[in-house]
Parts: sequence; structure tokens; C-alpha cells
Amino acid sequence: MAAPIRQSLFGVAKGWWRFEGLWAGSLGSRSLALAAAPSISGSPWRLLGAVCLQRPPLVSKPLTPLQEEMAALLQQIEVEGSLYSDHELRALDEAQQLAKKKADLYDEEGDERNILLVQDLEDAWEQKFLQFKPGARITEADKKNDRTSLNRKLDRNLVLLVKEKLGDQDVWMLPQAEWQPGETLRGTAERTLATLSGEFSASL
Amino acid sequence: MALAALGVSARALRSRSWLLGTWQTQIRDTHQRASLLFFWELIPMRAEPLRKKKKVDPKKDQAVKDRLKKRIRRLEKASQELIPIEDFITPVRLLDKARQRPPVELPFEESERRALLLKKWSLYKHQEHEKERDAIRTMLKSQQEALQELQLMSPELHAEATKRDLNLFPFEREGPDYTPPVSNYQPPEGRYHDITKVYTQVEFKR
Repeated sequence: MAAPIRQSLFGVAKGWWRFEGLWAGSLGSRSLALAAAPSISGSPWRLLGAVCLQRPPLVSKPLTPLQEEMAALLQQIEVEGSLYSDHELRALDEAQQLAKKKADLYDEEGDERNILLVQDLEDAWEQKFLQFKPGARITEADKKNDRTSLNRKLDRNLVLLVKEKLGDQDVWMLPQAEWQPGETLRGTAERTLATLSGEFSASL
Repeated sequence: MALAALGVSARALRSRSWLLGTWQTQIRDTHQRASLLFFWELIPMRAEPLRKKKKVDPKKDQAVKDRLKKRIRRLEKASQELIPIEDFITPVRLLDKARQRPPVELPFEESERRALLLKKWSLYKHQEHEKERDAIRTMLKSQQEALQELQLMSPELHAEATKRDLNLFPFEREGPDYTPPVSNYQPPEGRYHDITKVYTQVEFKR
């Protein structure tokens, strides 16, 4: 969660779980170079490969007030430019018949046809909708602010960070591993992923 | 005359079915028969024996085949029918005038409000687009810089890093929904009948 939202959001666009060991490694070695034996002969730099493990958002972000207004306006415009649907026609007919009945004040045999009113149908549909319980957008992990669960902040892109010691300080950073001669940086990243403890399923 | 009429009626009543049927009809209308002179009516004497299949039939089959071939040739010559795009054909029931809404007359404030909102929205979308573009640009720039550094450090690793990853495409991903999936959801039971029309265009090859 250290990375700014905008930047990490577009790192997501490449896959469900994705790691990029290529450039993260050299940047890491640049900033955290320690006095250890150089892996590449002749160069003073230590090469580390890191993994950027992401959990992309499961849920869409809440709309801003402007977006809400615009959505409402678009809906209004669409309705104004549309034709009446079967349901609406039926409602109009029934309203006319009711008005007639009140005006004329005599019972027709039209009751046989209109046992089920439009209002009854709508009530039934409303009841059915209320029976369905959708998943919660704000989960329990959010409320407890449990930083180790995957179920938190469903509308954001989450990145895995690991706490490691560098010299005297404890630093939260991407999980990384030393590059070994003979493997590519991508191989280093895969090895890092394999050595992470915990239960998760991730793929390229 | 009466006897003849009786005979005619007896013959009419007699069904065309074979032995048993004819016997049954005889038994039924025996009370109508006047005398034993009508004995010859009892036995069906007028039926024709079964004809043997003559050589006319192969010619008939040949004629039928020729007709079919002619039909096929005619279909091939005629221009092929294109598959209709059902979205472009308005169903007849929607052309009804009763379906049309009365035209809405917006008050002045409402139209003003709409115009201002649309302007704000276009500005917002423009800013959003700029932000996205800048974000992508910075990411690409940092990627290029990192690859440059890698090149300086070890050309072999750089070469391997710039290779194409064939597992990237085809890329499929389902976007975020409004609510997360429910873990123990039981979908309602039942079957559905798929009534989508499937058109096939047959290509006639010669």
C-alpha cells in the first residue's frame, strides 16, 4: 500500500497476479547497495530480483458526487428518448380503466382480466430482490484494519510488502532475493515467489 | 328396383378392407339382404390381384432425381441470402404509435442545469484522461531507465529481459463488479430453453 494509488492501478492491467522482476531488481540494488561480495565480476553492484505480487480490485470504486449526478442525468435522458415498455403500457391501461370505473360507477366484467395489478407485480419483484443478500463491499477485515488478510479494501489494488532488516532499520519493501549467476532476473523473481511463506495461489 | 337399391347400399356399406373386414360388413348388413340371390355380393369378386412392380418405376425414380437436381441448380444460380442482422430489424410491435412517449418540454432551469453538468463532465473526463496518460508515460519512462541501467550492468541479462513473453497474450480478465462474490451462493435450480435463432449460410461449391 506504500505505492501511490494511480501508479499501482495501472501496473495491474497486465494480469491477475503478475510479477515484474526485471526492473525492480536493479532499482533495489541501486538504493540498497551494501558492502557485500559483487556477484557480477568487475561490477561493484549486488543484483537482487524482487516480486511485485498484486491483488487487483474485486469491487468497483464508489462514485464521486459528479459521477453520480452524471449517471442520473444519462438515465433520465435515456428514459425520455425511449418507447413505452409492455409493463408501462399495462400500467397506463389499468390507470385508464380505474379512472373509467370511478367516473362511470358501474362494475364491468373486466375484473376477470385484471386480477393481477401492476402494483402487485412490482411488489412481488421487490420482495424477491430483498431476499437476495449480496456480498459486502466493506468487509470485516476493513473494519478491524487487519493488514494481513486479502479480503480488505476490495476496491483498491493491493501489493505484497515484506518487512526486512537493512542495517539498523526495519524497512517494509517488496520481497526480494539475491540473483544467482546462471539464471535470469525473471528466474530470481520466481524463486522469490516460491520462497514466500504462507498460503496463496499466484501465477504469472 | 328396391332390391337393386338394397344391393347398392350393401356395396356402399362394405368397406374396402380385406377378408375379415369384409366379412364383418357382410354380417352387419345381412338383415338388409332380401334373398340368397345376393350370394355373389358376399364374396369380394371385384378386387384386383396385386400388381407386380413394372419397369416404369425406375424411370419414375430417375425423373424425381432429375427434378431435385434441377431445383438444386436453380438455388445455386440464385443469389445467396444474407444472414439477417436482427438488431437492425425493428419488431413490428414496437412501431405502434401508442408506444411513443409524449414529448417532454424541459423548463429553463432544468436545461441550464443539464448543460452545465455536461460541461463539468467533459472537463472531468479530460482531466482523467490526462492523468492516465501521464501515469502510463511515467511508468514507461521508469521502465526504459531501468532497462538502460541493466544494459550497462550486464548485456546478457538485458537481452533476456527484452525478450517477448508469449504467455502474455491472449489476455483475459474479468473486471470489478459492484459487490464481491458470495462464498456459499446457491443458484436457483431449473432449466432454460435457448431460443436464439441460428442461421447457417451454405456455400455452394462447384
